[in-house]
Amino acid sequence: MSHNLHKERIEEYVDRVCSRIRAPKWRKQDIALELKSHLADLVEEELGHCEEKYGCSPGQSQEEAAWQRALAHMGDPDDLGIKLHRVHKLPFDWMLMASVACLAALGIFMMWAAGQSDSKFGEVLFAYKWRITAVSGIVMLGLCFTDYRKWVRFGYYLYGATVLMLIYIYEFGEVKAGYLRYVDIFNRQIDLIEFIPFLLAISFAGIFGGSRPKPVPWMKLLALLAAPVLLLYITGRPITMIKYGVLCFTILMVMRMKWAAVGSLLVVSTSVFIQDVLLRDAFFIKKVIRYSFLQPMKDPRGEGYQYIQAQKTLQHAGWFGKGVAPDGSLRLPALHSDMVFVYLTYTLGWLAASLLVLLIVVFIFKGFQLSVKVQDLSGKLVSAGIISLLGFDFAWHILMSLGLVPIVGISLPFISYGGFSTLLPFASAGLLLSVHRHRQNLGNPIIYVGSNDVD
Amino acid sequence: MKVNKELVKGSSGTLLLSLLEKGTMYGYEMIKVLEKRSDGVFAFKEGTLYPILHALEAEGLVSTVWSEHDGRKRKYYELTDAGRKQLIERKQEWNVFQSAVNRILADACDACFPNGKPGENPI
Repeated sequence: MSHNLHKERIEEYVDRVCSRIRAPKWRKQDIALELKSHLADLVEEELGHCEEKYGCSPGQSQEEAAWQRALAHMGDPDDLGIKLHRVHKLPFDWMLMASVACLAALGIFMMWAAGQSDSKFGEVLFAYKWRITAVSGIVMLGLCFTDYRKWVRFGYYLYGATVLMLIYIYEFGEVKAGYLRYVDIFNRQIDLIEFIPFLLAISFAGIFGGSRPKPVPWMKLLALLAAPVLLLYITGRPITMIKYGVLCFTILMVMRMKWAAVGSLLVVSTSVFIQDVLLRDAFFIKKVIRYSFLQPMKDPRGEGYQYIQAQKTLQHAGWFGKGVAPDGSLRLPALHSDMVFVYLTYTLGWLAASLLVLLIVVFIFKGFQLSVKVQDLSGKLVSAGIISLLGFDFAWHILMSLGLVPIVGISLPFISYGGFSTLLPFASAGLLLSVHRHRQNLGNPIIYVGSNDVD
Repeated sequence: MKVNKELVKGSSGTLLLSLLEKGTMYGYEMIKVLEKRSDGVFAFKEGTLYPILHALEAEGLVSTVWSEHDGRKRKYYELTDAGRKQLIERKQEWNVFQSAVNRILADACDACFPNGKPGENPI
């Protein structure tokens, strides 16, 4: 009879403590279970004292006293709850959030300006951009407030789905402009290949991180890394393969497999080279060497045109910019996508462009810092993986604007026009925020599912 | 003798780490050992143990595993490699600190006894 009463008292005490803690349910259950177990030990000890003192099994009043002493020993439940909350509350990375907000606002503004500078776009750019930014923002917050381990847990399935997606693109995709492949979804042409490195970054985090990291057999590692290389090779876009190489390199470096990391870079660059020479008659290499950024004047009206126009535009920008260019005054192809950094520099000036670069560098640095700090291996892998993809896009876009690398259709994340070039960076930021929130190594939610009772 | 709370607070993390040096323990066990070894100096509210332990876990200095003994589920704490490293550093830090404090307190005592400390001058 009294046993139930005491059980109730434990529950009451522990519930009171837990009511002060705002943390995921599994964590609260874990804390509750630990406190209950401690209280049970404590009461047992107090009852033991009774027996020593009176030499008999304790009566109801002694039992009652023992319970009261036990609870007094534990201390004030509210105080304890507040202290536990301080340890367990999920942090929010305001810095990262603020820099994403800056980039998003800048993106929307640039699309409005681009619509002014080139009337053939009209209001479409702005109207689409703010909508896709709003949707992406919601996706970001959704990802931020769910535990990334929930996604990462499905590593193998995600990997399988990604490979199937590649096969689908290969079968049903449409070839345009050499090697781009679009897929028709809901009557929209979507460049699904953009999506693949991002999905692979999450899959690999799940496969190699797992809930209980264990060494991965070499053959498995090679097979996993090689399969997408092969498929990207078939669907064929050199820049995506190079990006994929950077992803492999980062993942292997995080796993402290330096030689494999260097090896993966070698394999990817060799395969880019071989594919280009054998299957495309060195189309890409010729493009890079013969025209384009090394010698734009060789073909000033063709391959070199965009480089020359970009350089000219940049030269006229000045420190404080020229403001929004009137309609048709700028001869800058793709000023809303591939050339958005050039257009931004022209509009806002070099000072603003430098500030943007600084913001990007801080963003990337914070991302890598997070992957170093987080203890969970899958968290390390997912944050390092997606930040390397984002960093690659940022760096390549800016370098190609400056005419230092070939122009190959890499958008400026967050800012350029386009569905994926807006959605993916936001989704990445959402995952980073989620890793930040759950970076503390306080158990693993998967282990505790269904085990929350104490006797 | 009761010791100032602040003094205990600052070193409680290190004390818990040192308890785990010899093997895994659960919370209640740690309280008992601490009380016994310190002759009751470290008898604090037992609940406050857990925020400290959980903070150590969050920092990756200890890891935990649940196991069941005599029908009671218990959460066992274990030092991680990082925790072991941290403990060594903290111990060194403590040695430097306490010897400095002792020296200063001893000097202060010299001033208390201008004719030499008791027992120093047998005549």
